[in-house]
Amino acid sequence: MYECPNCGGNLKFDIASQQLKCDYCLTMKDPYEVTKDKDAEESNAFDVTVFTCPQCGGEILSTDTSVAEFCSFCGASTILDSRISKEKRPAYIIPFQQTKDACKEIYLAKMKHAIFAPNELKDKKYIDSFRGIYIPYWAYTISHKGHIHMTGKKTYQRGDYQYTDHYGLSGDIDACYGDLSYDASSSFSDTISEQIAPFDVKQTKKFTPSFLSGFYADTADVGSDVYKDDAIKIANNSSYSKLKNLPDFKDLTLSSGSSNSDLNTLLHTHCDAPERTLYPVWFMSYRKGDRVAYATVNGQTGKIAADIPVDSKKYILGSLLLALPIFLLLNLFFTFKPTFTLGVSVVLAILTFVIHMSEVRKINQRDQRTDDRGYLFQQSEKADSSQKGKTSSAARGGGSFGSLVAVIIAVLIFIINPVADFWYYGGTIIAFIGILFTIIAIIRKYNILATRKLPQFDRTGGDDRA
Amino acid sequence: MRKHCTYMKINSIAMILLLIGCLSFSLTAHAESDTDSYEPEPIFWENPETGYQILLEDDAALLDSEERAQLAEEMQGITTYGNAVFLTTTYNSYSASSYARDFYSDLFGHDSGTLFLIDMDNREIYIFSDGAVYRTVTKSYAESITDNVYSYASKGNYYRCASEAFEQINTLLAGQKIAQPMKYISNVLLALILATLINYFLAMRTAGSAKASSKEILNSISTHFSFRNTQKWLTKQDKVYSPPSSGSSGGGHSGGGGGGHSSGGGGGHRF
Repeated sequence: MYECPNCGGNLKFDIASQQLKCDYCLTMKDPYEVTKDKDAEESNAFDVTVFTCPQCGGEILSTDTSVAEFCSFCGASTILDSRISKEKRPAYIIPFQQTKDACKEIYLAKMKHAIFAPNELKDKKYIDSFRGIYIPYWAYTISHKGHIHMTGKKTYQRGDYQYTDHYGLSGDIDACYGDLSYDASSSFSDTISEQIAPFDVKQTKKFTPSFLSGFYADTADVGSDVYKDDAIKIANNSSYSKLKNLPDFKDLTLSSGSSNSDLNTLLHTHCDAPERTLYPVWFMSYRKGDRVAYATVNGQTGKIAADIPVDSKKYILGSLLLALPIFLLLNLFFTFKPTFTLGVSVVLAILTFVIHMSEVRKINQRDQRTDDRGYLFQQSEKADSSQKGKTSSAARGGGSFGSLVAVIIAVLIFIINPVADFWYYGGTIIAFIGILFTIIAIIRKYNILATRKLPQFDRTGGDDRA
Repeated sequence: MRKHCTYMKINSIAMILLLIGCLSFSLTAHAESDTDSYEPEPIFWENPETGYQILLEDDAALLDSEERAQLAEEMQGITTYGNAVFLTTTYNSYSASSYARDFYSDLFGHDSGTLFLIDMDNREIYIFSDGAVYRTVTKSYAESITDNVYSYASKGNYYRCASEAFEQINTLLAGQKIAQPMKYISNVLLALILATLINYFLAMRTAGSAKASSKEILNSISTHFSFRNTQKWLTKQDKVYSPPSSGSSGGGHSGGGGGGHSSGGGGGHRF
């Protein structure tokens, strides 16, 4: 806790003024002027209260010593153990710049466009909890410096001959990409991290613990090498693209390989030791009864990432309404025979089947976090194999059944080739029901993912009034 | 040589005699079969005011004489706008559409008119129209009409089938509407399926969030790129004889297509 020099109250970081502010006497202080332990700053560490859940072992950090009452991870309502600890000091921080009210507006603006979201999720009064949490990031700085030699060629036609000119190319490259950032918390999903990215790292400030006053911070538990190749890849591709577009090389086909290892050699790629940084993220939950939606907002830029549930009833009603103008449009231009209609239905049923397979694969990936390398790193560190092979709630169920049955029935009708139209109309109706069944199944799976309880979205404590 | 010519002459006479024999046998057989099957005479009538004609050629003998006379009377209204043909056949080695098109073209060229075919070989009814009539009785309408009446043909009620078809053609030519249940049912079902899929993509688009692109990420960080002392030198040149392909370069005129008179069209339905 940072004490107010005027009244002894708690100084907390005020987003609007970007200063520490006393809630009682409104005294403002520069965050860099208020330091609890100068020694800690010099020794690359800072004092922090680590809250640990006795039930699941989850940890979050705070500069405040006040006790958090609920576990952020398992939801246990036991009072968390707390201890003072010295944590590795981040080099930089981006302080919160979006206020809680601004986040609410951003969230509601997104909900306005979510036409199939349940109505109750659009009601302001149910936005219940906002938590400002600093998420640890690794910031990689990649440089390319040295003499480059490569070859290129240009092919052209002149008369009856095709010419290929081969060139030797060289020059001195000097490029740098500073602070390419990747989240260092295994509990913060890579998908969400990529959705709320980028942070404007040009606005980073030198870290001082007082910036954390009034907020929580997540612990960095992902190794610094996990995302190194990703950062190098972005830098390599950018430099190579700029190289290819240089006026002297523009009309040439460069003969160097474009794989990451080829480019590392060509561009003399060097990656500095990554810096520890903290970036601000608002976590919001929006709940009414059993309806819960979650969103994360970039605390600097206001970019939002939210998986908004889809209301099946609204979706069906919306589809019926949309069918009307499509019907009128079709009537203006087309007269389809029943055989053609059934043929189109089969194609669309197959398309729906393919969509189902693809969407379910993506949903499962996100549900089981198999595409989250930070999480996988942490799992491998814990050598926890208990998660492997588990089928998630989102993965269960056979939604493709509907469109598959529709396709089989339609194919049978085509094989039997009856004369009467009603067979084809019947087949088309079955195809429609099958497609609808499959899509509703995808939506249900998606809704399980969008409304499930994730530990990182359920932070307790922090300053709700920030 | 002379001997060879005499031999040829004897052979020719024998061939002619054989042919006469075969012909007389087939004529006898035909005469005998005529006693078994009924082959109605075509009915022909011309509208004195417009010059358009009616032709009923019931080769498949699907209508009795009373029905044919009745149908001819019902078809007369169409001659205000063009020719009207009722045609049935039991043997057709082509498609119903080709048969109808060829038959009409042979009779009337591209003159305005319509033909209703009952093709017993392919079990299909077909309406072909040309000229001014085709502008009204389009392919879509032909398909709608045949869809409206095919069930009569399925039940063997060919007179009702043809009569309803010509009545609906007449209705259209008189500027009135006909029922098109096939069109509406098909379009309703397709509209429902398309709306379901379009709304799904819309729902997923508004429900999720897109990942940041590499360009966005690069714009948010401090970057620096310079490339100095650029050198570029020619190391060698390959030269391969490769004359421009005359076929592929082509170009020029695409050789005009079709043009001229639109050749009518129609639609049909199996029964």
